[in-house]
Amino acid sequence: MTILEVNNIAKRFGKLVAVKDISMAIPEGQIRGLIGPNGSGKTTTFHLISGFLKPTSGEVLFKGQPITGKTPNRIAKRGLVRTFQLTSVYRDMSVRQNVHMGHHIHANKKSAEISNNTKLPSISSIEDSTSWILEHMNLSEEADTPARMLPAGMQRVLSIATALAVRPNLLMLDEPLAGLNPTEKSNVAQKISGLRDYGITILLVEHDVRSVLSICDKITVINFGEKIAEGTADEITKHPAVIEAYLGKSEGHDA
Amino acid sequence: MTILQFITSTPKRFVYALIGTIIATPLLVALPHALTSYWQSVLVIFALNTIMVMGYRVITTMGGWSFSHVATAGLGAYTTAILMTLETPWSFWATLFLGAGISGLFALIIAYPVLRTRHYYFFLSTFAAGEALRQAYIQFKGITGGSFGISFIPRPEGFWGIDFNTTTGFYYLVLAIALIIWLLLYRFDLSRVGRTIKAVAANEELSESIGINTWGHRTLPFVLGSVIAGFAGALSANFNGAINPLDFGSILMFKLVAAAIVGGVSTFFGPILGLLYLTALEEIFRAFAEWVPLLWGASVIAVLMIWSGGLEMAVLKLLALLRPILFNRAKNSSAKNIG
Amino acid sequence: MNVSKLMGRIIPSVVGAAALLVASTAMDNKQASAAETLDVGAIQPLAGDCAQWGIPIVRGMQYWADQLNADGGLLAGDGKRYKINLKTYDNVCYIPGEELKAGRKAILDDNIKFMLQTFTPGSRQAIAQMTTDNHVLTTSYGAGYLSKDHPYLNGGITGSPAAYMLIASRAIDANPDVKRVAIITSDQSFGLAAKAYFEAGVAAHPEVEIVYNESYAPDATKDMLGLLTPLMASKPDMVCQLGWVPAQYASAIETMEQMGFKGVHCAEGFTFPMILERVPAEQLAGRTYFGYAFEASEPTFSAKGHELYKWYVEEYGVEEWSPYTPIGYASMMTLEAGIRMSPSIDSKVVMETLYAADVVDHPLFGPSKWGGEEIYGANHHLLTPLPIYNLDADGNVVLDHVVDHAAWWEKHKDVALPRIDAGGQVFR
Repeated sequence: MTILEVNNIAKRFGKLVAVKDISMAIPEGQIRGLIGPNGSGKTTTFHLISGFLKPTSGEVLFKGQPITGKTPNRIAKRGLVRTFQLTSVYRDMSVRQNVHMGHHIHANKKSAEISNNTKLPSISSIEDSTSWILEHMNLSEEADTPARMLPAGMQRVLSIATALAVRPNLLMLDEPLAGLNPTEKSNVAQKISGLRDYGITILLVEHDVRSVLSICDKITVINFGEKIAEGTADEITKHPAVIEAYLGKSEGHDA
Repeated sequence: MTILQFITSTPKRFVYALIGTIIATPLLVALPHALTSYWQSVLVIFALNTIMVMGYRVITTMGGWSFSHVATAGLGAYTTAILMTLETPWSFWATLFLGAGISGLFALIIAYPVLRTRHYYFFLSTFAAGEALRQAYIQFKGITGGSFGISFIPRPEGFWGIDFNTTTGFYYLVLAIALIIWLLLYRFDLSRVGRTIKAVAANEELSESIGINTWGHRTLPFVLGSVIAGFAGALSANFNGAINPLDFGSILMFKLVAAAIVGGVSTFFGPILGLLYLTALEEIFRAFAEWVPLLWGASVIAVLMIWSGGLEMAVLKLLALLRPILFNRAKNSSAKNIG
Repeated sequence: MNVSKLMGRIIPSVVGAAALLVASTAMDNKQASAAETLDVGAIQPLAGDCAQWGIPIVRGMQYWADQLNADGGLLAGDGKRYKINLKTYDNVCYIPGEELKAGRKAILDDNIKFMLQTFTPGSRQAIAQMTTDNHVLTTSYGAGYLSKDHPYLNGGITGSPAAYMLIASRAIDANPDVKRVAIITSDQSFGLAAKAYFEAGVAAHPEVEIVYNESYAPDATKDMLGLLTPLMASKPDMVCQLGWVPAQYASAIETMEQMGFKGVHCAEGFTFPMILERVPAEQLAGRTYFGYAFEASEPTFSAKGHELYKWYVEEYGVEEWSPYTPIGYASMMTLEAGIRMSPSIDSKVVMETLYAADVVDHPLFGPSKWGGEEIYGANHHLLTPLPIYNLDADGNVVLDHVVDHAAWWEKHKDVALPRIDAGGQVFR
């Protein structure tokens, strides 16, 4: 079943065309990578899907329903949650408070069971759910530490843990590995892979191709606001358009 | 929600605040009897301004420093002044709530343009909105009395033997409203919505991405704070008996902003502490009133440049240091409770 | 930071604040306990732009107090002499809310019983109830707002805004060629009051037309040319203005003269040292009509009043001289006359004694009658004669004419009163 369907979305800022025409479909349970060189339009695409930008044309369907033009918080309530590369934690809150805050949309059904549209175990209270997430993301020991004191890798894990508290069906991660050292990278990558066990579909944006090849089932490559390739890691590493985009930029596209 | 549920879900800190308020109320009631008529009037004005800064602090929790607060309070003041000086005057109580409602409605209308702005731009856009409102007070002469203002606004009818025409009687009215507002706002501050507002202020993008309606959580405190300002405005029009567009200008606005800076806004009591400090300064140097704004300004600069965090931080530090001594507790456990 | 360090910072400031409080209370007590002293209050703008008005007024009041004190004090009707102690309170540029705040300090804190304030109706109304409740006899340089419900407010002299009416009328009388009058005032409360009274003065002359009549926001004076261009386009023979602070009057006159204006200027007063730096005296001679209380720099109207000018010039220099200095001085003399007549220093008795007198012998203006019934519903305005002045070619102020206020009003009130009413200045 297709969880996310993007049909011919485009975004123009005045005369500048940031995204020309992008379509893709992500089946449930997949880990999809969205890659492209700097300025290729992948971040804009990310914003268009998550509602932080409105597409100039085209539409986005989530679980078969159109979400184009809806505010990000409404999209999040439907089960599509995204993170930000640098700003995805509440710096002055403790780790526990961060994850607790992630439960915002479930707080009104406090006494009832937290709605479960994923394979995450059903837990009856926000406190318990918070503890469960902290434990499974290996953050329990840091629970009372202010988020700003955590090392970069752990902040990245915390941002995923906070997003997990929303209990999303589709989690969009914005360069989750950027700026981390090799140990941190493998730790975060392992956490991302583990999310699949909870039935969460993942779309992640990365600039650095190599680091995501191993965790993605399928990869979409875009350049100059258009999709140039899509396939498994093996397929796209051999794709001539991808090789040109990453290695031979000076030949064809000088602009 | 049953009463039992409410009590069990009430944060401990609120329970302490409630108990503290109940203990302090007899003292606050007795206070004017120990004062001369001048200090009684100072007390009333302090209580009125306390309501103003409590409202102002609600707005700052969403991260914006508004400069339209006093002009918005003017809507409450004008509502009371206009309706109570009609040939067939309205009841004060009706005008009080109507005035607060109109202040809130105004905030709701301007929220759409001004809440799109952040930081300095928010400050500037609210300043512009406030000035526009103040010009309206001057220009709509037929209703507002233009630059002559409105005079001889009556005080409400007394009850329970309290005469609101006396300063002490009116103080009890303001005190009662101030205490109710304080308890409600403090409870609100500790509530989930209150915490969510602060989360939105701390990181708007992240909040939006985890499903928080950030627009709503920015609009709510802006409107709520303005409603409180409306109450303060209506009461002050009543206390002073006369209002004028000039009363809702930058002098009082500066005092509120200065109180918020000097006191700090991370705690509930910070701005009130700041207001207390500014009022003390004003009264100590009341024989040299024209120098008081300078002293206020110097205090603001001192806090901004030297003593960041303001008076609330000083008090919190002091409390943290005193707690192990007073309660004989370990230092670690008390340090965690700060902020 | 440890406790002792923090306490080390807090304790001195608390002690300092407490010491200041004690010191200020102690000072108050000392003044209150000194016998035979009469505290007199003045609520005026003491800082900022408007201090250009407030400071000279307060200085004039100080001179009045000093003169009486030099005599051993004011000889009251009870046979005792009272030293006058002047206390000043800032109203932050005539803001009514600040007037009230200043009034609370004066009346509730300092227990003032005799006071001078601005004539601005909004400011008078702001403290009206307080003066009534606390029996504070409060005079002003003009009436502005009076009421039989608030008898402790009186108009000490003709002053503002009545003087505007008399000046406009006199300037037209003296210049039969004047057929077109322009009125320009600030949109503040006192400016709008002036507008109504200028209109009332012109109304006494049915052959004269008002060709321009506008109010402006104070900020507009930053662009004087832009403000005055439409006025000049109406081709007036006479321009009556009010609302500019003294420095701005000078720049307004300079601008009009540069634009080729040859007609008559009329206003409550002109700060000539400032104006004559910009426009030569021979150009303005005979064309500037003004009058407020009296102009002390002119010696013939009152020799006693001229002494104020001499003292002022000696004390502050001739370039500091302001036509506003005499107004506080002259107004206080109404209270002085009351205290001299009254059998008791009690403010209620002084008030009743003053109003009971058919004619008050004002120490400066001489015998004057109470009036104001038609406008305020109470005869609490002392209609003192109004000297009107002009300028000669040497830059000296010369006396033009003394208007009998009471007589003028009797003659013209039927046409003048409707204009005053239309301007929202009737408070019956």
